[in-house]
Amino acid sequence: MKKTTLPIGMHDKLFKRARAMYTIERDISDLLMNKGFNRIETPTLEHFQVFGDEVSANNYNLFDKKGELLSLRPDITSQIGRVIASTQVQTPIKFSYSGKVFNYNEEMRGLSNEHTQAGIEIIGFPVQDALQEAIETAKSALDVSGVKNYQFEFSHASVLKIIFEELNLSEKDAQDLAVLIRDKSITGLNEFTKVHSSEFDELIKNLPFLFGQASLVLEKARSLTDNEDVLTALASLEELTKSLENILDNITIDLAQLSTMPYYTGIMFKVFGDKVPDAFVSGGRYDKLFERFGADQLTAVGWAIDIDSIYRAIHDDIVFEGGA
Amino acid sequence: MTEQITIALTKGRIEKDAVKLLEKAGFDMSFMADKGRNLIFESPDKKFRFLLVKAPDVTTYVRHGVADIGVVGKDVLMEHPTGYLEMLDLNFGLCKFSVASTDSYDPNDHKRKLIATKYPTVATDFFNKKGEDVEIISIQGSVEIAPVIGLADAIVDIVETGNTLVANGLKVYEDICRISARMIVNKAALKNNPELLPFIRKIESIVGNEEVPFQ
Repeated sequence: MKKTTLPIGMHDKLFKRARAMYTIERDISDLLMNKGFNRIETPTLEHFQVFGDEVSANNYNLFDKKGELLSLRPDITSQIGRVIASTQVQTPIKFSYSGKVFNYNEEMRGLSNEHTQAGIEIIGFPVQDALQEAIETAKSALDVSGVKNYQFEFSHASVLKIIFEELNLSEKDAQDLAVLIRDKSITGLNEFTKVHSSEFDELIKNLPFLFGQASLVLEKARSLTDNEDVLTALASLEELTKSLENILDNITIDLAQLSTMPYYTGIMFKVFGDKVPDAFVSGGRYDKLFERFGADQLTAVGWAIDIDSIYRAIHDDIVFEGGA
Repeated sequence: MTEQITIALTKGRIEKDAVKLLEKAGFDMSFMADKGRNLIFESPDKKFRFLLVKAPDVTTYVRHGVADIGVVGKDVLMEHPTGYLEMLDLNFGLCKFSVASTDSYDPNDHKRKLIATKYPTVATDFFNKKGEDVEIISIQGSVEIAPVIGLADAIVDIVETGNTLVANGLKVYEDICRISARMIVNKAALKNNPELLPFIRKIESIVGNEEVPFQ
């Protein structure tokens, strides 16, 4: 009898949680539309290829009546990529959205498989302006949602990409290195440089520590490499963080931030805060997204904010009469 | 104000070795000497809080951010591989994963083998990488008897001294990988709690940044 049980990772939200989550989603959506972002609604169900060339076990996959494999959307950015590539929508254009996304997490770990996201995509505009606007908008969205303590953390996809290209690793070694970088593995990265020695040894060994206040991290990173391409990427990170100094109080960098989505191409950013075990905003530049759909490369910058995490960060501060 | 660091320790031998390591790092751990039935401990100066939990639960506590740091064996991490940063090899609790069986076992046998193990993910990945398809039987403990009494063709298990294998008439056919205790860290805590990285580097200064091999 499954009449009275929920599938794994699903939750009902009532009273304070339901009301607060709705208010946060509405306030952010209204803010974005008022700032000139065109609201877009994309379907919950898509062909699985929209989200990746291979079927992912982290997605909810199901067959339709014709036997076509479909996925519940794990993100909305890919869908907007599809819209740009497959319709007569003219660029440049700015979109905003909010809605549910689905990820199939490891079972019985107390993780939620359904999340509410809100976000923006700025497509076809000059990159520096788009980045600036994306970050300002992300800050406004966090402020309107009521989150108090948060910090922006920046990274540049090129830094690690250059290292991977120069090392010219086998597929397996590249995967291993990516895991070690993601884990900030002090021991693992040191052992790696013994086997795959290169001009980047010092930089690779120090990756676990290259996070924190922007100016300090950049200074340390520069002392560890004289590779021109890496220095160029660091310079563009510095230019961005400098330009944001009057908007953001607390600017940090993490050079070991691997791109979570393969379509990122330049600056990436996340926002961390108290009481939340993961980033509650992630975004960046991902010009490559449209090529997957057979369209021309376009500049694109965007972010997504996790409304469930926002609620987790602020729920103690919300006064609610009538229910838990 | 300094922020407290919450550390989830695997109950048992790893906990004892971890306490020894912290003493070596100069922390007074005497408050954990008389444990009684307590599972949660706070240091008198309030800098540390320790949770004593079962090994697989260490990853759960760290992933949810209720513990900032966890100390747990690589064997457990291989079964539960995501959601935390695996930052440091602590170089204690050394052992290895191996394939073991009786003398009559033929690794080159053409048939689809039955492998008994407490570590289904590790066993599946190992044979997958070799390009061999096997049937896994999940066993909770005393895995060594499975090939002896004919439940399985071989086992995948942790080998430390090899004494248990020998006592049960088994021998190692193949080694899978080295295992040791690791320090895992919650990714947001690393950014939010400024005490964390200095603590990790202090531990690194003692255990080093090189793998001690398992003989």
